[in-house]
Amino acid sequence: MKRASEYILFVVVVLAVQILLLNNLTFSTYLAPLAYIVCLILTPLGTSPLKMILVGLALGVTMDLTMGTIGLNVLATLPVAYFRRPILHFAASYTDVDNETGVPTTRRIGRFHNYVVAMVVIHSLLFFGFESMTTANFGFIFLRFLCSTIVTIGLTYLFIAIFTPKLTRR
Amino acid sequence: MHKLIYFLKQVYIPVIFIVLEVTALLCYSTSSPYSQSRLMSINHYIVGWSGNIFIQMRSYFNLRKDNAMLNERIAELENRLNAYRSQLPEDIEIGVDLQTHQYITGKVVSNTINRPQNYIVIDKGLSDNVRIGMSVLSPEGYAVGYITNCSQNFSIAQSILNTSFNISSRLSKDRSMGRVSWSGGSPYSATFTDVSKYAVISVGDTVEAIDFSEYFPSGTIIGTVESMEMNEEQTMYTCTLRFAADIARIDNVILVDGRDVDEVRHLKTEPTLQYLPIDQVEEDN
Repeated sequence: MKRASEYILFVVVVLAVQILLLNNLTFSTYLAPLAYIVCLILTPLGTSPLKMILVGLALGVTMDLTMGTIGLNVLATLPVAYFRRPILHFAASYTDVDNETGVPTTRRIGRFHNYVVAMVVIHSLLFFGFESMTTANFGFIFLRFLCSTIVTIGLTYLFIAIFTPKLTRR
Repeated sequence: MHKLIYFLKQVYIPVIFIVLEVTALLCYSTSSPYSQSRLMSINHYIVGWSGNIFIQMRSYFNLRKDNAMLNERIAELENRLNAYRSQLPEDIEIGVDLQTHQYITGKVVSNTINRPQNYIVIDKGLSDNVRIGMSVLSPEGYAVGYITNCSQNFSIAQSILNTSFNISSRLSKDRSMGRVSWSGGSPYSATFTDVSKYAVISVGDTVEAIDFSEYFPSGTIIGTVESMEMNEEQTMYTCTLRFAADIARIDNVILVDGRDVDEVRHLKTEPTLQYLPIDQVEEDN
């Protein structure tokens, strides 16, 4: 129960940073960090697929309501939530999801970095793909995707470094 | 029942995922004009691409039938050409200058039959010398429609299955004239009206385009008489016509450009000409 409340608090903090800070960044049109994906990345490993879908839906709907992009965040977040097991399997060669209940860490998952990068890249691809839905201005879209993904990966590691010790505390 | 419950337990999570994803896509598609137009264009692209694949597959499987029909058509045209040649003096050759129509073949990209205004999209456009007003015939030479709009590579034809379609035509045997129109409903039949009560009509008689038709070359067969009845005033026949071309199953078409059609149309749009005395018209020219 305590672990659940800690995870919820973590989600609230991440969403607050995303909504209040990152969504209002006006440095460049190439930068649109989507750091809230860290909430899905750090969802405990034993979480059932249905719960993963519900977490993804809740995240997507919250972000859509705050960003004014009805459906776009849900479109990008739901597949990442639903396919987390295959991503863990193919990107990090981790198959022991059902026997583990803790938060994903470098200690639990051998190729943790592959997992983080795969989750962020897939989410960003879906987000910017659905956002543009065209191959016109491909250079601009690709640069926006690239810059945003790099910044998102950096922010994700920052959140992981700050919150993982607290979430994994027993 | 147990099996059903077991099956539902197995599939409910993917189903929930798909339902939520589709709902999100629908919400997103209506959220802004940009996303709406982009999704529409992606949808059109996918529909066009898949439709093209089906058309190609169908064309492939119809090759044998098309080949047989083409052979028959070649034989018929050869016979007709020989008949013309036999009537000409030996030193005269039939050249291009005697050709009154230009023929282009095309494939049907899409076709509707269940609307009041039905149109056919053809894979030939301005770059293939297609232009507005050209007749569209079936491979057998039966009336199908006429071109109403062209882009660089495609053209749209108004099908004879169109409630605004109304052309002068005549009975092939009797030469009595009337009008063919389609009032919706069956894609196989139309109405042939205003036929003189003195006409000799029987079931199975063919109805063809008249010599000065704007839409089709003279003699193009439109359909055959299926039934007829006298109108209430007992002055005219109204016939039910069965179209010669099966519009619902048409894959290939022949586009025909009549050289004199533009001149006829131009004349029809000159309102003053018909009221001017002949000598004044000659002076104006």
